[in-house]
Amino acid sequence: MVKYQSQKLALPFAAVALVLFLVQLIAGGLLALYYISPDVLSGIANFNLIRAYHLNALIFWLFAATFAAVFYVTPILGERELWGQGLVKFLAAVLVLVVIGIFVTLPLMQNGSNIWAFNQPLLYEGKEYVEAGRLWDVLVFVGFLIVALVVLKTLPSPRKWPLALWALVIGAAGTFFLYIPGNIFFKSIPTSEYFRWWTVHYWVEGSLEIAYAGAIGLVLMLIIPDPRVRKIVDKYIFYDVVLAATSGIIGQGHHYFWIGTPTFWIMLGGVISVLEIVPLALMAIESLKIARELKQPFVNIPSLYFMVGILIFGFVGVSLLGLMQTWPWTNWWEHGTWVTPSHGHECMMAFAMGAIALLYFALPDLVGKPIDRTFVDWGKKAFWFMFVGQVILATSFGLAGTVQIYHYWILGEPWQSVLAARFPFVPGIIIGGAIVFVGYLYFAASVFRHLLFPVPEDPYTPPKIEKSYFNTFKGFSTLVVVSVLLSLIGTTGLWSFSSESVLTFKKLWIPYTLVAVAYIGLAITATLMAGKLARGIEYGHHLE
Amino acid sequence: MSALMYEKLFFSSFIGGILVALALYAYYARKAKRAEAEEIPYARLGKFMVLFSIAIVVILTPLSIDMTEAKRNPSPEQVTYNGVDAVEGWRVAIDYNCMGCHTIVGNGAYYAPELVYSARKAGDADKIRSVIDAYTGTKFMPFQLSDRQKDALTAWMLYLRDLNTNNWPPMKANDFSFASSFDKNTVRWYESFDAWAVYWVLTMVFTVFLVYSFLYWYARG
Repeated sequence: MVKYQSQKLALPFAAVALVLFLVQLIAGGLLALYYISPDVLSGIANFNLIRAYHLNALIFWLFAATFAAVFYVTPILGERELWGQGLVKFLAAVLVLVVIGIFVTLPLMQNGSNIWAFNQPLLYEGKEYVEAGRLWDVLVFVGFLIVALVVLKTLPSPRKWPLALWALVIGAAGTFFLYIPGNIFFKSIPTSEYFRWWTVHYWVEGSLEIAYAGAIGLVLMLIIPDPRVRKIVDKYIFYDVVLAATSGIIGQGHHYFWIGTPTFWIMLGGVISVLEIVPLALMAIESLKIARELKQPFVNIPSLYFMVGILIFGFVGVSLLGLMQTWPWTNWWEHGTWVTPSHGHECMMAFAMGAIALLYFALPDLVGKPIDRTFVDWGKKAFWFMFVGQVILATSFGLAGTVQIYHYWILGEPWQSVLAARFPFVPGIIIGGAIVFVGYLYFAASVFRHLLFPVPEDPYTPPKIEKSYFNTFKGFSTLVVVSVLLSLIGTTGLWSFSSESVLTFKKLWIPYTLVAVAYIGLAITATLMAGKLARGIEYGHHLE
Repeated sequence: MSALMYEKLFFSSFIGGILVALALYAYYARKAKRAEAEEIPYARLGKFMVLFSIAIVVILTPLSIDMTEAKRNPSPEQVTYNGVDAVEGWRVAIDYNCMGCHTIVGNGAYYAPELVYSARKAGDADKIRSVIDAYTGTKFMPFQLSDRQKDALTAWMLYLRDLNTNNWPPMKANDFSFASSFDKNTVRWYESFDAWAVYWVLTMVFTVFLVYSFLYWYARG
């Protein structure tokens, strides 16, 4: 059972997160439906409306899950009940109100009935990721103020905070402040896009990354109350934050190659964003070291799996798929095609898995029930379905995007032909999405079972299993190197569109083969790495 | 500055930075063996590098958003069609969330054509206007627009057409290459060859720092 009753205030936020995650997945399915048959929903719920739901549901369920984690962890760290519990309940109401408000006002875009005041749009903002209207932004601001106030009042003096907590707090505060620049209306498109990327890029490359690094550090410290762990985690967080910030802040430049901003971004953004791979590669290698050094079995297996998911999607999806398209020569070709969402979907899944890991971590303690066999089984299934589904989906996007480059840019075909050229890959996206949805069902089922039904008292202990390549860390570093090589092969593939062989002699097998090898190879290495890391720790193979 | 020059600068800084980091690392590793190496003050260095990168972004922001004399891009107020300007068109584009289906300068939803590309392919204003006319009210754009809104969108598409996007999107008209855009952009001092020397040094410094940190941390845990 929880030590502090006020920790239970995390539950409503977790519920909101679960519902919004479902909304996001359903919206994703409807977007796929548009590619099969554009007539079904056109005029009722247009593509742009559903896409706005897809993105805003994601943003707000990540917020809700993060709030849940914050309210669960804060009393433990402060060693007392939450300050201002009424305010937290009020915040839950505000969150529900904001979400409903956003979802009710977004459909107004279908007939363009926005309200403008002081040269700013009020009801919705019509730009990717920041569609939510100004009225709701103000309430989000109030929400963040409440969280900040509650956390600061509950915790002891900041001097005693571990670095991980600093990272979480700075990351969460940064997430809000970075929401502002993207929302402002600018007359010029380059200016508008320039500042919109401050929101989107600095979220994923900056504040969210820092906040989740902090949250995982705190989880590790809570599991193992050993001062040595705090030292390891502090060091790890410091390096992670410094390297991620130095590469990510100017690495922003890879969004500024072609939006009407000066050429110096091609140099700065090009070189430095290639180096964004450094902190994430270090994170992948360092996590092995930490696992080896801790010498403790991991009890909350579902949470462990999803933490591994952050790591692998962080390394393969964020940095390696990102590396393939961040070079100016490859970005020139892939920008504005489906190659981009292949990277985007794995990035966002890394954060989604972070949120799920935190929910899984808090749940058994919050409801005061043990981690039993079914909980672990369903949690693991949830992970594997989500992981494999998302990998299939991202791979399909990447391959379709490569075909799109040829048909759209080089042949200059009309849009209907481009859609037809991409169409063979749409089933891959739908199958991948459906598998992710099955994963969600397992996730939601395991959560509801734990919340509502009695659970057998005997906790899960992993069986002894034979060691093999698939459940030990043996050869993990080799896989890291192989993955980097694969992404360089993919880079060559995308770059080869510039060559005479493709442009003049139409030797299409060159880019297509190279990119296919890269995407499919990375899908395989990602799955192998996730399995080795998660199963290795689950079965205690890191202990010897 | 020729295109080839740009590639040389890019890779010399990148590979040079990695080599310098490797050399530094080898030097310190030998010193460490003889136990003469001092602990690198990473806490201070790291904080400095973070602040330094923030400072660079702050300095480059006014140059990036056309706040200097020599503007890269047309002013949206000055691009008009039938007396309606491009700013009004951008507001219409926001009101109907065009970015939720189309991409604009490559960012958006990929369900419908890229608008800069469409504008450049169409070429002149009347052609753009006729395309907007043709698609409004169909299943692809299932909503009605007034004549003024269509004029506004046309002006905005003309504005998009004339943005200086460093030759993106790839078209036959620009030889499927972004390299030639460097030559025409050097008229602004911050895109000139002299300024590129500064960017070369900057990327070199960051490459050395990041690669060296990787090696240092990997070795010491």
